[in-house]
Amino acid sequence: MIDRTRPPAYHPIEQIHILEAENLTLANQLPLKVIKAGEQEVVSVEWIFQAGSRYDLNPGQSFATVKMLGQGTTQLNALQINEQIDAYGAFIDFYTGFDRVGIRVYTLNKYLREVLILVKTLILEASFPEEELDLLKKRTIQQIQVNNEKNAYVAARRYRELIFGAHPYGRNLVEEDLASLERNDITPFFKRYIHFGNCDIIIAGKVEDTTIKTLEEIFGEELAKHIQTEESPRDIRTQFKKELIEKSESLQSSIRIGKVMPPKHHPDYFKILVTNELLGGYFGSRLMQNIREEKGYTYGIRAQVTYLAEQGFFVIGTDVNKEYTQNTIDEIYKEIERLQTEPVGKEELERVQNYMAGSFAGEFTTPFAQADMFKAIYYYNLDYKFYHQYIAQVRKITAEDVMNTAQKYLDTATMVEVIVGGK
Amino acid sequence: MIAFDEFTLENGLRVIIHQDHTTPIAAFNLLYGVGARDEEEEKTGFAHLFEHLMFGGSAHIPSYDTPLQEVGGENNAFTSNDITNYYVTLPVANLETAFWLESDRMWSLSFDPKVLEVQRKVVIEEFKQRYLNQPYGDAWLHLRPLAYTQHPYRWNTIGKDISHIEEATMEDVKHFFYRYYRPNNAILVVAGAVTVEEVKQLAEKWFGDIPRGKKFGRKYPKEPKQTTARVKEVSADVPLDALYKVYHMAARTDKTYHTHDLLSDLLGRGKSSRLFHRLVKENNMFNDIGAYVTGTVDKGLLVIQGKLNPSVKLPEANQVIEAITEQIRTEAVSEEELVKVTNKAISTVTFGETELLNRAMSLAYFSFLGETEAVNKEVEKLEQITPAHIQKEASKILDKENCSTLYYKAI
Repeated sequence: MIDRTRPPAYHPIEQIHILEAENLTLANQLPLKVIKAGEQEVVSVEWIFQAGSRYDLNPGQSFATVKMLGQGTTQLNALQINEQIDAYGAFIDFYTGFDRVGIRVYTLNKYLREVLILVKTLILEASFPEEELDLLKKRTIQQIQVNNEKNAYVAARRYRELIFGAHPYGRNLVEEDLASLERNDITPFFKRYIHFGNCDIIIAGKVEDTTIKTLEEIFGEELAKHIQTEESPRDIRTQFKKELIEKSESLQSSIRIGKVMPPKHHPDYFKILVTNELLGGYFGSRLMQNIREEKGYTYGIRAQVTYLAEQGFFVIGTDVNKEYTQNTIDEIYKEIERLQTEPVGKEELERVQNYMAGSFAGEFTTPFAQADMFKAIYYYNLDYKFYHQYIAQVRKITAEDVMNTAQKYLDTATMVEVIVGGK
Repeated sequence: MIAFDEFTLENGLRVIIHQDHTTPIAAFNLLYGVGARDEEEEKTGFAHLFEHLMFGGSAHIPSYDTPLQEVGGENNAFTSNDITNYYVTLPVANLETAFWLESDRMWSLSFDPKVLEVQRKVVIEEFKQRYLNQPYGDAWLHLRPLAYTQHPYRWNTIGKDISHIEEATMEDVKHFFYRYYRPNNAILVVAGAVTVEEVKQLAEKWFGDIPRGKKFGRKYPKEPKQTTARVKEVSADVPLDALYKVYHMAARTDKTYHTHDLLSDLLGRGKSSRLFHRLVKENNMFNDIGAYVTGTVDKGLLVIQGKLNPSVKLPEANQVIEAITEQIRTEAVSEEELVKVTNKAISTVTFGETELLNRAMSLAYFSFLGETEAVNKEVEKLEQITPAHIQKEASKILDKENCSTLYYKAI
């Protein structure tokens, strides 16, 4: 008989091998980042532009410009574009963000050339048809109306407005913004930002030498005029408010509590990372154990730090049984205060560090995930050193560091609080 | 292509090994052949509630999650109408920890009443968060009992009603466990930088002495053929009217399944599909519309669902959809259009194989369906479908009388 009470021997992970992206430059100076990985004959290719909503002069410009890229060129209408993508078995995504926007395609290698040529025309020959823009506006407005019925959506948006104040990171696209948006708002934004002088290409997957040649051939000759997209940094003025948005018919309350954090390259990054993880970053975290596993108030609760180019922000989020809204809020503050006043035990700290090491290793399992991990340093003024030292940095954090960090960054008196539902 | 080896332990546990020596992370996937279709009518939602209880400690190990976190592992699980699937990813060097934890909870749970009490509450909050407190979240609570009158697919995995979850007892828990959570009703897949010998030895060591469970037959009430169109109208505080149409279609292992799957793609997968192009882009009647299949083990549903633009009335929207389904029944699709959806479906299979955990899940699922090797035959099956197949199957299943329609009205 085996002794089932005894755990098998444990092997700590100290270091993992990380495949780095290769830095190439096409003839026209367009940066090309290459991740050669994976066994399947597939790749993802991504065109990323420094053209997020923070560059908007009129709200919605960045959003609509990117979403319209697949809606028509001087040669092809939207249906033809979509039919081509589908016929190649490719997947295309036009995504928007605060800092950056992009086009990402996933394609079988056998159709790579065709897909690349198509994307090139989408970028160079975008025609922004009026009727497609009207449709985009209409559909987006309706989607916002539907989302406004979701407490979690309303809470997350309002929370960001409060913590970032008038800074573009606090701006949300609303119905009126879209309604007043015109083609004349889009074309200048497009001219200024969506071109190969303001672009990186990232390719990940089974990349051969011939793949690079194809990319060079298709994208290396286009004129790439470089531009300055830098704007002067704007102040973040948090509105330190506690807000309740009453929804009497709701069965649950959606809660958001938190504040802004320093940017990703800040020296306290790993201290904040580990502290956040202990508080609410994983299933074994204090908030999850307390609010879900002991009290059963919620299906889930988590704390996370999100990083934007200039700034990070910390948020605790949960949807809870409405009648326990206040209890949950009290428990959240109690857990933060406990981190500030009692040193975390050795066992708990080691467990979270081990968990984080394994979880980190698991972030690199596909070529596409490796591309995402690359972006998560490249666009934050970091390099692979950050990852090579990651596990060691996580393990270095002490109980005292956690306590100091909780005191320094999680001051409960200055937390912003949004509740959608009721108390 | 997913390469694998398989063997069965004496107690009936099926074990499948998929070797991939390129990654430091291993996947450990354990599928139990039990889902919401196995529940009693008065105790629905139980398979899913039970999944939560599986994390509340086992015979010799007070917490499932803690020791796994200690070795750098992550885990989760899901329940469907057909199966309950548990999965772990962890550094391959610590693979044995997954064997230890999973085998102990197959050996026996701790049956702690406090765990049952808390997880009942958690699941009720999940019920609210996903179904009751979401716009359109309750649509499937209406649709299933409309489409199915006899088969247990007539309820959702979350259950028919919150009261069923509130009333679950420890007796129910034990009964369920000893009936369904036995090695002969489970399939284990280990994927990663492992060898067959290594997995054999670990499987024997940790699972070998768990007693096999009593044989039980799977007999589900057969859903009678639907012969008249069904319509239900509900209303809720949502911004847009929504329309759902569901048609009975083939079971997952039926030879016509892939034809039905492609038929749903032709109708409503993506922006070049017929429904989206005509109703969203051309005539602007819908805000969004799409089609898909439920892909269940027993006969499933082909689903068309969309949200209407404010000026359009539900019956009018229904008519235009029916015109499109009627067209695909009577006019052959072009080779070109069929190739388009086939390529996309094949590509989806290929992309699905990039992630190790997905490969492990697919192996377990196809093994559960009856033949592990079938996991590698999907592409071949898709490639064989012709316009004639599509038309024949379309005319069979897209019959108005085979359809249940839900009008979801905004108030």
